[in-house]
Amino acid sequence: MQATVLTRPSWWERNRVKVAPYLFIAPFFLFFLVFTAWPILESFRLSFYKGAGLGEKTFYGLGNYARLFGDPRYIKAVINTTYYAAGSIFIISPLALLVALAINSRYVRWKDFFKLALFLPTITSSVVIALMFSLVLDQRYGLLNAFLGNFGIPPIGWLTTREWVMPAFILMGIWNWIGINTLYWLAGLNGISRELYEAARVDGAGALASFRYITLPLLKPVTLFVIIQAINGSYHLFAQPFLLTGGGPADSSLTITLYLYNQGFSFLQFGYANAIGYSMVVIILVLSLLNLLLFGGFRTTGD
Amino acid sequence: MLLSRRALLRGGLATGALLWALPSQACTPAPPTRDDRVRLEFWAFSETRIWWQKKAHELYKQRVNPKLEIDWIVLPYGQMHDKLLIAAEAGAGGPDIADVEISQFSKFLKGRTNFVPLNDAVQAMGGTDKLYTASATDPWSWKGVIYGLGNELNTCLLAYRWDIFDQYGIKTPIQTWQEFAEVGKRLKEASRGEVALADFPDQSWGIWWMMTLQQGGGFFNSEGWPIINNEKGVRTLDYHQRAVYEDKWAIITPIGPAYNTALAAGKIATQLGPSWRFSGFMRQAVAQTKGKWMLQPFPRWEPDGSRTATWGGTGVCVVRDSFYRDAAVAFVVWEHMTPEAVLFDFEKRNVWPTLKPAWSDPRLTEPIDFFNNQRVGEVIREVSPEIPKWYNSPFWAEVTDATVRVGITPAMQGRVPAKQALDAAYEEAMRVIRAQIA
Repeated sequence: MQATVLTRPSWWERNRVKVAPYLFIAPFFLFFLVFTAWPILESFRLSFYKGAGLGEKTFYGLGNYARLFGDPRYIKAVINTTYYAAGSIFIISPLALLVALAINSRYVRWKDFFKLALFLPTITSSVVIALMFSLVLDQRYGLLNAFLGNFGIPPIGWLTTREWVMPAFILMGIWNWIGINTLYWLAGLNGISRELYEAARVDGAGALASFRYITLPLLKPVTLFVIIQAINGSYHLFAQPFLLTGGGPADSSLTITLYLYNQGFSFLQFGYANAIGYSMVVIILVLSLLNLLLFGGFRTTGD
Repeated sequence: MLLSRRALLRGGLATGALLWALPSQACTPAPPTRDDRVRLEFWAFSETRIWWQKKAHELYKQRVNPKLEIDWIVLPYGQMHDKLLIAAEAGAGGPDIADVEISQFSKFLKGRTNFVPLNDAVQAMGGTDKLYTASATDPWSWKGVIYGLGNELNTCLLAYRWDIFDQYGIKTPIQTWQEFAEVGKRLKEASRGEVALADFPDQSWGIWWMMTLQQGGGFFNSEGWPIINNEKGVRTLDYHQRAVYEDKWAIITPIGPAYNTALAAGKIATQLGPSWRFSGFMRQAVAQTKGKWMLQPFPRWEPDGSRTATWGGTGVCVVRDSFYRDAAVAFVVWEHMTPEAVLFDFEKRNVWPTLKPAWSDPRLTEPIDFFNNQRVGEVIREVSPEIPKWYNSPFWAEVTDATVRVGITPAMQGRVPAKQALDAAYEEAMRVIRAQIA
């Protein structure tokens, strides 16, 4: 009988069960580090540098950030973008809630059809949306002015006059984003127990009272989410003004991202463009934190 | 199933090799091929525009260098220029040759110039005397150095609806802008405001530029500093304002599809522009007006003034980081200074060439049915020597932007006086420039 020779297992044999999962997920992290994390850090570093176009950059300290406060175009861009964000929060989101309530109502049929129809604009390309709205919003031959003309309203230069261009983008936003917001609200509404409404009805509560004292309070977490989404999405508004107005007329539709793009790719002010990008991070962060505080987003269930 | 160590290591090595190879491929210039063939990479943004260059390349291989190969890469306009810029900033990863549109060129002048000077090669092929330089070299030159060549002559003319002119008894050619305004007033009266003689934009600079350059003005002086608020620029904007708001014989240019509709419906009786507008854009966008248009030189500002200008175009540039820059320069200059080569673009797109010797070809002056069988080439040939010289600048983007945003739009919308608007635009342009160079 031959004796079995026992050899010590190699490092790999001893550890492969532990190591293999990390190796499997390593490609993602490698790509993340190279194509996401490194550019984020590098752009932060660049925001402290200044240079005229291509080639060498010199350290500029906080100069680019200080320049933001004295740059009237940047301030205009912040005002325009905030205007759009306000439209998203105070017009688009409540409208989406109304639509969600309507779809959720027992009187509405073909709910899935409405959900699908409202959601389609969300997955439509920005270029297609821009092209479509250039026809809808045209001052002389546009669909919207033709419709308004029936009520005696004179043609409005939606994309060509300073006072109307941002409301025009909010109108576009309604069409574009109401669907996805409706789905968020619907998810929240479906999470509210029917028993609560039945109990309220037994106690004599009407539809309005039920909405005020049951629906709204219980939708708080969804409201928080919807508003953070609205803030984040609004401050990234780029494609439509880029394609339809280029930020005009006279900067009336200049948004922060568009200004960042102009500074980076038209004026080659890479350092300043990065500073604008990081200022946007700060604005979104501050607004989101305020939102969390307002809606009690930091409270735990125990609180 | 557990993965074997060998398979895992193989996979890891392959992934590592791929990650290593990707950036190194992008950053390394193309190495020489074994049989001495040279392979260049050409970046462009329009398939139709490079058609003539592909044909020119075939001719170049037959006549000059059979071993020159070119890989043609066409990307969307914005993406191509942005990628070119990123490659320039990185110092690697770009093409050997690139099509650079006129509005995009100046940004490559900031800091380290990204393109190879072509002056010596142009001189060796006969010099700039063979070219209409205002369109061939001025747009891609900086302080006397030529960094690109354009084949599109882009001589600006006045296109007019002869059927409308006939209907209202308007005689051509209209000799001066003053006479043009008088005709506009008459047309407005006779058509009861239905037909505008012209349209002037409130959100773009093209028309302002042509009429200002015609007087010898423009965006920059020879040192690259803005001159938008000099008397020539103000005179043009003032003319536009009066036409729209005071005498009301012109309208603000409709935006988007509305413009085509207005042209097709005969609501606007003229159009100013170079051939890519009257020959390219109009023949596609308002094809139904075929035969109703004719062309004449611009009316003059002064009795002995120029009757034309130039606007737009794309230049071909050789990238500084190219491994084969000599071969690239030789091809680019050859294709722009060889009549048979530039005529391919006339064959394909009706682009009249910047190369003077090519004008002996009779095809350039043949009648064109879209323009009522007028010999358009003869008009272009007559006025092209009058295109004024002009200067580019690294601050093209900043100054054109300020001109529209603070000058033209407020003047044409808010009725701020032309002088005040352009002074403000000049101040704004200088504010932006100072912030950059401080």
